[in-house]
Order: sequence, then C-alpha cells, then structure tokens
Amino acid sequence: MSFGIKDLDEMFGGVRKNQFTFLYGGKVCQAIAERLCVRSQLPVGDGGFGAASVFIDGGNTFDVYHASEYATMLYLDRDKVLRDIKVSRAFTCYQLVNLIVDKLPMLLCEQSIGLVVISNILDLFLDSEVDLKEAKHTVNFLSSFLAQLAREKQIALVATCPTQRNGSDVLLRQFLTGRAQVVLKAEQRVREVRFTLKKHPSKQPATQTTYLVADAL
Amino acid sequence: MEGWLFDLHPTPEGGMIIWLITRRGKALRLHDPWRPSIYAWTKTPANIASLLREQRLFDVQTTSDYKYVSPNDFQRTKVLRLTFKRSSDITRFLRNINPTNLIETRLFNVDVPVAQLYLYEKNLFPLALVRAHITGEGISWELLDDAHSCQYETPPLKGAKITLHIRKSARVTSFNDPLNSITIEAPSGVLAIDNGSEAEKLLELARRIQEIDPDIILTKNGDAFVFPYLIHRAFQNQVLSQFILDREGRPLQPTATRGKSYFSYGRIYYRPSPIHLLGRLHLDACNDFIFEDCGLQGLIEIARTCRTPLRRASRETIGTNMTSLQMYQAFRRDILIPWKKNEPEDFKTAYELLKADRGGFILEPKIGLFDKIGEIDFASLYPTLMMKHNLTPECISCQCCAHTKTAMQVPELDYNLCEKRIGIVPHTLRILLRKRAEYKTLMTKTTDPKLRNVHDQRQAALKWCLVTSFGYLGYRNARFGKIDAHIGVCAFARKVLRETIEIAQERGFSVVHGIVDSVWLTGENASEDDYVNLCDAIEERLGLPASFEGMYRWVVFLPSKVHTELPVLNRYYGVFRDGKVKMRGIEYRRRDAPPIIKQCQRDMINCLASARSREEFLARLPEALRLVRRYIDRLQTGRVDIEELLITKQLSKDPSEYKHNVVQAIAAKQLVHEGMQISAGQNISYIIQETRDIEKCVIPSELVSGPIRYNAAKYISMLLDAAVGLLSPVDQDGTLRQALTPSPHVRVR
Repeated sequence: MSFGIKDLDEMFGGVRKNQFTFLYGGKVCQAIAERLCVRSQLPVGDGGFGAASVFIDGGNTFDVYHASEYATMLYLDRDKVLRDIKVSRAFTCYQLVNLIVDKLPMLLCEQSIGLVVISNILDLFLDSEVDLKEAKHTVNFLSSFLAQLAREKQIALVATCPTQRNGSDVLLRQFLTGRAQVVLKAEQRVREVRFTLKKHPSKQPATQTTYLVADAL
Repeated sequence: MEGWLFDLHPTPEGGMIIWLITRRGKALRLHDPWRPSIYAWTKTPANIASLLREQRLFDVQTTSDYKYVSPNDFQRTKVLRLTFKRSSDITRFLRNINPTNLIETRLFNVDVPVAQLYLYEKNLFPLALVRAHITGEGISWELLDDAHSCQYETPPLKGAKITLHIRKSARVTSFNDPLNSITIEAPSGVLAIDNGSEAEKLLELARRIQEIDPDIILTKNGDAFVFPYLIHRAFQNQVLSQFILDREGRPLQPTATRGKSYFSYGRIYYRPSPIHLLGRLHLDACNDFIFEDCGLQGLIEIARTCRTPLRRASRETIGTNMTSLQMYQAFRRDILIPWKKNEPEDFKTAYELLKADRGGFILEPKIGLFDKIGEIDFASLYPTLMMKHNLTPECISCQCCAHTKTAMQVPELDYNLCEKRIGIVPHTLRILLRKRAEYKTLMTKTTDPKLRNVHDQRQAALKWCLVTSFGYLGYRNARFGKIDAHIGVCAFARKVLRETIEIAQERGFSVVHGIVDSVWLTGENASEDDYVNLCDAIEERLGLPASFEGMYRWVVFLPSKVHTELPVLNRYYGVFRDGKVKMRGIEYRRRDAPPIIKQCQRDMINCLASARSREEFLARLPEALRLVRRYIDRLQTGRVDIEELLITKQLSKDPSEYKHNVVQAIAAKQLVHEGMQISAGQNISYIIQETRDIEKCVIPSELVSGPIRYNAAKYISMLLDAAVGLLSPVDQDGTLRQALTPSPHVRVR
C-alpha cells in the first residue's frame, strides 16, 4: 500500500502486509496514520489493500474529520470509508495491552482487515503512574507480539509514536525499533517533512525531504 | 461491647485494630486477627504456578474459590484466593511479581485499602453502631445500625482545635522559626501553652492531647504546615520520640511522600500528603474538601454510605469515596475488583464514533436582556438516567441481550442495554438518589434549624457523589467505568432535552436557551402555573422529575468576551421573581477575580435586582453606573484594602518549569526565593504593583508587609472590563467603556 506521498513511496515502496512498520517522529505521524487507514480501502490497483482498517488510538487523537476529508480528496465514498475504519481508544496502558493482545486478534478473526494502526503506542506507558520496569517488560512483550501478529494474520501493522520533548520515550522506543521490520522517522519542519528510513529488510537506510505544506497532511 | 465504629487500621504484626466510641464517649481499642485476601485468575495454569513460586516468600494460605471475574460474567469462575498474614505482605508480593506474568494473569482486590476490605467483608461501615463479641477466632460483629438509614445516631465526638503561634524571623514563616505558643481549644475551654522551652511546650502539647483525649483534632493547614512544622521542631529539640498525639502511642512521623499535583478536568490541583493520627480523626480545614463544603455531618454521611473509613473519607476525593461504594456493591455480589483495570472501549466504526462521541445537548442563547423567562431544570438528570436505563459498563452492548429484538437501545446509537440484570453503577446510584431525596424531604418537614442543617449537609455531600458518578463512567482509572456507557448517558440526555423542548413548544413556549439539563423558556403571557403544568407534562411523558426553578424578573445572556457577536453557553445573570439572584460565568463567580471587582459586580446586580421588567432594568442603569464610578474613584484615591486587590491563580506547573514570565509564575518564584515550597496546583495570591521592574510587577500576599504601590490603572481597567462586560447587551452604541473611563491622573496609596 502506498503512502500517497511520492517521495516516500519512491524511497521504500510503501507499507506491506505481513510487515510491522514503526513510524516515529513529529506530530505528522498522526496524520500519516489516519491517511493510511483511508488508503487501505483504495483498490489494490490504486495503491491500497481494498480492505478495511483498524485504528487503535493510544493518544485519543483520532480525527474523524481529517479521515473524512481525505476520503473525499481520494473520491471515495466518505461514509463507507468511515464505516470501514474500526476505532477503539485506550486511556490506560492496561487497556492498550488488552486491546492489542485480546480484542484485536478476535476482531481480525471476525473481519477482513488489511491494515492495523496503533497510534501513540508509547504515550500511555510514559504516564508517571506507570512503573518503568513494568513499562519496559510490557513494551518488549508488545513489540514481539505485534511483529508476530502481522506475520500470522497477514496484515500490515503500523505503530506510531510522536517523540517526546524530554526524550522520555527513547528507552521504550528501542524495543519497537528492534522488533519492527521497517522503521521510519518523520520530522516535521515549517514547510517540509523529512523522512528517514532507518531500517528496512531490503533497502538501505536513506533520508528524503518532502516539500509539502504540513497542514495538507 | 457496644459503640460506634470510629476508626480502624491494620497493624504491622497482622490483624486489624478497631476503635469504638461508646455511648459515654470513651474510646475502646479492639484487635481482630483478621487476614486480608486477594484473588488471581489466569487462562494458563502455568502462570499460576509461576505466581505461587513468587508468593512462597510470604506466609500465604492459598485456596480455590468461585467468583465473577468480570461484572460482565453470568457464571462464577474458579479463581485462586491468596490470604496473607499482614497487609504489608501484599505490597511486597506485588513488587516481586514479574510484570510479564501480569499480561495473562489478572489479580483482584489487590489495591482496595485493607481497612475498607475489612468493612466489606464484615458488612460494616464507619460510624455504625455495633456490638462486638470477642471470640476465640477474633471479633464477631453484631450490626445495630443501617447504612441506608437517614435518621441515625452519631457518637458523642470530642474535638480539639490546635493553633500555633510562631515567632517569624523573615517575611515567610519557615520551619526554622521557633514556636512561641500553642492554643488548644477543647470543649473544656481554651488552653494556652506558652511556658518553658520549646521542647517543654511540645511535650506539654502531647501531654494535654493525651489528657483531653479528643476524637477529632482540627487544624488549619495541618497537613501542609502545622504537623510537618511540629515534627521538625520536635526533631530539632530531640523530643520526637516522645511527641505522641495519636491513640496508638506512636510518635508523630513525617510523611514518606511529598504532596501530589494531579489533573482533573483539565486543571491541575495540589494536595499535600495527609497526616493521620491513628485512633483519632485529624481534620484539616485546608485539605478536606467534604468537611470544608459539607461539614462534619456531610463527612460522616459519606463515610457511612460509601463505607470508607472516616480518616480516608476526609482526605480522598469524592470520586474515590463513591468508588468505595461501587466496590462494596461488587464485593457483596461476589464480583472481583480488578487491579489495573483493562476493559477498553468497544471497537466502533469511525462513523459511529462521529455520531456517538458528543456531549450534552446545547442550544445557544440569544444574546441580550430578557424578561418573562422561566427556567426548568432536571434534578440529578445524569445519575437518574444512569439508574433508570441501567447505564453501566457491564450492561451496555451486552452480549446476552444483543440479539433480543425488544432490548432497549441507546438513542441515536446501536447499543443495546441489558435487561437481565442491574449493573453495579445503578445499584450504587439507587442508594445515593434515594437517600438524597429522603434528606430533602426531611429538610422540608423539620422545623428545627439545627436538624435542618444536619440534613442539608448530608444531602449536599451525597449530591457531590452524584455529580461525580457521571464523570467517573468515562474516567480512565474508574474501576467500573467505560467510555461507551459515558457516551450512552449523553445520548439519553440529549434525547431528554430534545423532547422537553418539543413538549414546551407544543404548549406554546419558545426556547431561549438550553444546556444539558436546563431550558430557559418564554411564553406569551405564561404564568408560573403554566410552567408548573409544563413540568408535570414533562414528568408524565418522560418519566423524569422536572422542576420549575422560577420565573425571572429579567435575565441577561452575555456574549463572548473575545467574539462579541457570539453567545456563550454559561455566562448569564438574572433575578428570579422571589428576588433570588443567579449568576454564571461572570467575574463574580471566578476564583481569579480580585474581591473589589466581585464586589462591584455584586453591587451592580443588586442595584438592578429591584427592576421588575426590562424597562425598569434600563431605567436603573444610571444608578448602576454611578456605583461603578464610585469603585473607580476608590481605586484612584487608594481607598481600598489590600485584601480587595488580591488575585488568586492556580499554578499549572512547578515554578521552575515556567518558561515565560506570567504573573503567577513571578509571584511563585518570589515565594520560592523566600524559602517556601511551591508546587503545581497550588493557589498563589498576589497584587499587581506599580513598577517597571518585570520581576516585581506583582507581589505575593505572603510578602506584603506594609503599604504598597498597587497598579491602579490596571485594576481600573479590569474593573471596567467586568462592569462593561456585564452591561454589554444593553450598550447599543458601545460607548459605555469610554463614558466610564476616568481621566488619567492616578493618586497612589
């Protein structure tokens, strides 16, 4: 499935099924994740999976209006697109784990899903109420669980993580970068987004700067 | 032995200490060798084996039991019960568990405070009248009281108020300042301890407290300052080991943790660590919301109804108290209480989310001055809906009724509601709603003002629980909450308000404003009886109690301060026909407005209150404006007290975290510089000064020690904003501010 961002698609060809992609960096990750949920529904010939998508929201950030606008931009039936994105919001890391480990596999058995996005995957583990030792164990477990789930269920799995200003996410992020097959960093600047391919099973690490108005994402 | 269950706490050796207050007011100490239990459940037995390996470190009895693992369950499941000798062992046990084990193994009843667990298990409640029978196995309790009762006896509690007098060496009192004297106000009289050395004074305080033996010790700022200061002084004077104020004979100890800053509804609050005195109740007038707002009777009511030990009830939030009642309801039904609750929102489509994730119904007001307006409210609408429609996490979109064609649906949404059982939340609300209604009835029946006040305090405390109940449905850490149930309540509430408006319109009323659970209506020549009849019709049609708040002589709906053409939902003021004033969202109601501005607004509204119509309101405007000029004159000529100028703001972060020089940060930094500990969530009071030095543009109230040059121009500008804002709907040509603005000569005090 293509990103619909020419430079990025040229750089590493898009998101694949059976693959766990980890996208981190600026807030632009959020917009990309929402776009992917819409693009998943494009026919295969148009760069999509022709399948529904799931958005597990770890940051309470899912913007229905953004997804709806993007669907309109792609000349898709807006209501149908929204009906084919399954959303659930987690408000604690325990809810997030339950969603990923228990509820998601059940949903994947019941429905035909092409893409699963887990947004802001680390936010809830960075909560001051969560013990760091517990957070490390759990994120490590989740990282390997997600990689395995993508393979077993033949889905494209994308986890996003906006970086924290204080760098508190660096420690936990390494579990995800270690297990993900593809790691992509997106840094937002005033009029451009700089993508860096950090890890890929078949491509060399590379950096690509895309000049676009960030608001367009 | 007969008495009221006053206090209870676990002992380090194991078991529970219970303090009873007898009818003669004597405190009795009992020990029950009771052991707390937690539960474990897993899909894979190997995890239990791993858990058991970890728990070998402790003196634990393990047995099998059958419980409901989730409130959604219809059948009990086999679980492992782990009974510990000491409550502290549970904490140590939890620390030893490998977190990975907890992904597939779930633990229950783990973080319920053990004193509460004891109450649930023994089916007791704080301040219950009980008879204790000491047996070979512990205590057998006979309950002589009913938690559901609204007319109960309370024990003869003895109180003592402690006040410190400190010799200040700097502008801000510090722990290094020596103690001058101590005052104890007890029923026997006022006692001053002012003789001898500081150590002697401290020991005399301890001796006097043991002698008076009060049940309640009242302080002002006891948690944040009085007790930490006393501990520090006792330590400095090497008498800490003899400084005993509780009934257990334990020297007063500093708290292990610092105060806590926490978020609630987008605001940050600060709460100092509580100082508890075992066997007594320490009430801090500055750190005890229920006591401050609803008095001792309100606190007792909360403790009894929610089954939270009095000591804990006094310091915890209303939500925590209400959760205790929910946990008790679950406990009695054999439903296990989850640790680290992990029930997430149900998957829904983005389309459903768009439809579902909305709040209450809102009909924007028309901006302006109106007369002949009536207001209709629904009392406790959300809790009533939650109870009536069984809106609780386990009953919304339940699988058992999902395919039942007749199952009740949430309006606008595709969620079915369970018809086979009543959930924990409605069970809880039924008690709260019934008791509150009964107290309100008792208030109308009694002629004794004292008793009326008792009932009022109790119903006010219960009201807070009801207010919290809806928010807790969507609160992430709520034990029995789920966002879907929260969404369901809003959907029902929107339907109620829509239908209310329809009924009103059928009867010839038109709607001026509507918000969540209230509507403002106007009808051509509508009398008060017409409104009362409308309420009856609403109640009959919707099955919900609608109440007529009253008819306004006049009401003003104000515009936004930023976008003056836009109305604001909750910014209005008006006067009912009985003379009662209602104000929302104006400076008078804001905590950060200086008292002088509040007084000015209050005086303006009082001046306008005698107007009986729109025309009379307009006729009284010149008088209201004269009042404003008088306030401006006072500010110009310095005829104001310092207290009238204090602006109080809450710190949204710790002082050092502020990157910009906002005024509250400047004030906070000055206090930190003087040696005070200031944290996010604390309130800072300051006065705006006349100076060009940005670092001194404000002065905190604590540092004011004489006449100051306050910034009169700034205060006059704030006053004008408030006064002109109040009258903006009648300021047709927008000249009011200019007309009120004084000439720029400012005399400074």
